[in-house]
Amino acid sequence: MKIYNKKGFWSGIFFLLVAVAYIILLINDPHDMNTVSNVKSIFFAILCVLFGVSQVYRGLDSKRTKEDEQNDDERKKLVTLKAESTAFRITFNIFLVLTALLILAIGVTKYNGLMDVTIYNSLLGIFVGVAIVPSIMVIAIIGANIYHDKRT
Amino acid sequence: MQNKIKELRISKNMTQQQLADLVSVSNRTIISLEKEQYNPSIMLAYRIS
Repeated sequence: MKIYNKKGFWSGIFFLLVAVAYIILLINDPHDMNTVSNVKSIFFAILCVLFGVSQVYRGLDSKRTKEDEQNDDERKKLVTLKAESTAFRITFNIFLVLTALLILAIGVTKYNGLMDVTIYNSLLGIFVGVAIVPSIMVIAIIGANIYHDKRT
Repeated sequence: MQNKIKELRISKNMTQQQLADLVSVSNRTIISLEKEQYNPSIMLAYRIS
């Protein structure tokens, strides 16, 4: 048995293990068998099994591996690169706007006598959580620029 | 970038899939090339030639 596509094969194994874990968790908790969340878990486990089996099968078949490699050509890689870049920029801009709105909200509650300590602390907590995302993104952009500048 | 891929492919009685298999790319890439929506890399252009 030869593995032609190691990445696909091991991702298939991973999804099969996730499905097995879900099934074990469901079996160990029989009292909630009729809840909506268990139905969703069963559906998710079935999807994981189907995806895992297909990935493992494709990883072990040379013809299908060649098909997958052919479909993952330069144009597909370019499209993926452009899509991820656009998604990153959109996410960054959304978080910048949210951060600005939270700064405004904190300013309004603090300086207009509307300050309630609980609300202020909640807003501050949310602000820290939201503001950390664009901060990490900026550091990641700088790091990625340095890395690719050296290698290209 | 303008090209004559479609004309030349048809003159050789090839389908898009056959050309895609020959140069190891997807069918979708050949379609994009023929519609001049995508510019191939030098390596791909060389393989097609």
